[in-house]
Amino acid sequence: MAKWHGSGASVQDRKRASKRSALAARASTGATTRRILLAAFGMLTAAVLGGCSSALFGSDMEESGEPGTAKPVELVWYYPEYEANADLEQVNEAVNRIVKAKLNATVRLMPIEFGSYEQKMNTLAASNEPADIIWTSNWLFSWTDNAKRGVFRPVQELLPEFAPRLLASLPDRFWNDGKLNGNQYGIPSYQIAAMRPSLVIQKRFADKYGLDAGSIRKIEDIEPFLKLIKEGEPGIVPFGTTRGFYMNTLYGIDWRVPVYLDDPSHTVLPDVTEEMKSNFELVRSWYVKGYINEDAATLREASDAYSKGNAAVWFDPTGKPGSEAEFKTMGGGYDVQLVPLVAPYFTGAVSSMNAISRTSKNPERALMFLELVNTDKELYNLLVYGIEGKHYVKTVGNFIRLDPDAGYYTNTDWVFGDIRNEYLPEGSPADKLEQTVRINEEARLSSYAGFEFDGESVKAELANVRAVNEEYYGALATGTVDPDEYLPIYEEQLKKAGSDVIVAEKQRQLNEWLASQGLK
Amino acid sequence: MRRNQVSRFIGRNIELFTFSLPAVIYIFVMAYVPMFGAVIAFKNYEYDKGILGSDWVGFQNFEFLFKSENAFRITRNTILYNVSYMLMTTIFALLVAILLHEISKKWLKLYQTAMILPFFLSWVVVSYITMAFLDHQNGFLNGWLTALGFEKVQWYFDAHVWPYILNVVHLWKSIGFSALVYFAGILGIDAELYEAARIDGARRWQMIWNVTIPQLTPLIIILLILSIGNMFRGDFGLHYFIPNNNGMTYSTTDIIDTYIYRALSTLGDVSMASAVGLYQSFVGFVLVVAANFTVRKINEENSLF
Repeated sequence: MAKWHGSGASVQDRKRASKRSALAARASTGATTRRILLAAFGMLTAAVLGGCSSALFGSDMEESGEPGTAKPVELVWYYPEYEANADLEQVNEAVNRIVKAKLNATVRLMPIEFGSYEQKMNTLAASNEPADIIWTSNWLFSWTDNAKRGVFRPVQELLPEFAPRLLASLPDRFWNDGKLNGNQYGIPSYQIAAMRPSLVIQKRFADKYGLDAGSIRKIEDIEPFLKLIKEGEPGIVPFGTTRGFYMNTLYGIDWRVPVYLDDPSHTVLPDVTEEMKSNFELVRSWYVKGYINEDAATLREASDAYSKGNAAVWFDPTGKPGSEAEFKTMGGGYDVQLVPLVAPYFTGAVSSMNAISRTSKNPERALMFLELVNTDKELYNLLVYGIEGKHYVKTVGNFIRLDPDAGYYTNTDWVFGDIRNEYLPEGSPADKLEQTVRINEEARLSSYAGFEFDGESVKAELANVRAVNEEYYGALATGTVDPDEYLPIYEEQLKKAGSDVIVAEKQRQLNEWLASQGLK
Repeated sequence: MRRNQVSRFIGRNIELFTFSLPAVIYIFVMAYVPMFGAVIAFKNYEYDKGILGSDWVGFQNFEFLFKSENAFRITRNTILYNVSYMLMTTIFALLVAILLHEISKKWLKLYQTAMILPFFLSWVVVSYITMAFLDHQNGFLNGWLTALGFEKVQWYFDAHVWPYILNVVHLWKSIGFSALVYFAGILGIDAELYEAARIDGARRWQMIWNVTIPQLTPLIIILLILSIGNMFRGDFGLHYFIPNNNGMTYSTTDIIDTYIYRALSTLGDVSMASAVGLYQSFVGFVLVVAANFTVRKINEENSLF
């Protein structure tokens, strides 16, 4: 339609031509084009708005017509992993063979690295991405926050009908941990539900320098050993860390609410305790002496501190039975020993749960699948260890030999489900599962079990305290900066961010809770 | 215009409208539709209730930003950095363009290519290059410092050095492209002007000062005004990847864009993050209008609207 006029054409010609073309446009194509344009615009608007409509109006939980297994469905499962596995595809196919036969469903496994799990899942939830099962916990992608935000779907009504064996397989204590305001959101993995903060020490050095592990009662006791390593082992980091090793429980403070154990006045402690100050001083002295890896505060993932196998000692907050074998493969293949620093205390099942996403179109099938994962030994071990003969071989009894370089290696039995169904990797204690069950039953309960802090009224303060911690905590806790200089700044910034307000609110809620329990 | 006139107007310019369509669609989808989302900033957004269904909370989501010093800090950082990037890039790019024009044409292509190469690198790649220099244990800079008998510097923990580092890195990456624009401008200057100057006995320096710079002034002003519009939009990649998102340097590296990103990804609170985003847009809007007003006062022809 466009007409080009040579420079030779007269002005008259040009005018006439342009009039003609305009007329022609109007008569023949003009109207149509306009209609097409309008239609395209309309469609575009509809598409854009349509895409946002679930965000706009919220979506009611999808009701699937047939809860049975007649219709084939695909389930999407998001969970964290240490690092990407080359053979994920093959394992996924093997998983699908089992699930297809038993539930007429397929599963898309969507592992995300631990370091970015929280960020990716936050974005995913915010964008209403379809998902069926989402792994959650109290320490990564907080299940309470996200349940409140409406990320998960309550399942208490579906459980008895669609996952009766799963329901029966866990003690009530575990189920209760996944409940919020009477709704069951989390489906806990049966695993260690207690914590036992421990030092992890490479055996080769412990043996060489004759370390008496029994003599270590508190974290300071390891210092002479670090000195020996520093002097005798060039190239070895005596103490590898990423976030330091301050934990309330190491210093006789309750783990649910920061109150001294057995404090009759139930006083909530400030964010920076005296114990934390002395801990920072200790770490700083270690850092200055060269015991701590210099890049500690810039490392992102806990395993970065020891994954190269060049750290002689590191700190592990969980200290669960059998983690020796996990650390061996994660830490360069060297044998390690665990030295627990505190008696185990019950932290509950909240440290690893799977939940059904609100965006799931097939919550029933997703639950049936989770039941299968938690009760089917073959499926569970496939998810954890990969394909038999390719990624691991069976040895004696329940033991297997793993090959971390074979293309599939998760090292996270607790992410998937009930670890009582698992094969034991070589190097685990033979009674790992019995030990786990025993510790779970023996672990000390918090005096505040059942108390849940609601941060809604101090949201702004929580956000700001978090920002301050991101700025200063890592550097202080790893001894990278001098506490004499930075601790006062950190404390001042916390105060400005409103940490006192949070402490006061926590105290108020705690007092109310204590009164309601008849404890105060 | 009456309806009939409108349709005739569209009909007559249908080619132009068609050409502009992709851009219009792009702006509509990317800028106008999301604008609706600004209401989230005033709501307690819950995914299951949706944007319209969530409860109104007034200015509560802005509280966390203004209760702390963060609002001031990120605003100051964003503006100061952008002003300094703008000035540095303009001055150095001009210098380089003039130098390119004055030197022999023999290696010209090589110089240009070498300088423009960084422009095509992603910030992630650049962050590894800078890390090679700044790493505490194995970095070049600390290697040189120890070789010369100085103390090592913890670059990634020292907030004071970052304004310099960021400026240098930004300049390194952006100078090639800006210099090219000015170089093209210089090539467009009428050769007769230089000839006349030479006949009048002007030396090189005088020619640069009296011919090149005055001839380039309109171009410089237009580019400056355009960049003022982006003054409140920080360079996320530069400020997130180069300092390695390290807490200890937030006081001098954190800008509004990185702050929003962290607010959303670590707090997971969409409402608070969009409150910061709205704040950024609002101040940005004020800034552009103010800049335009000032330019208008000085020289009406150069103003944008």
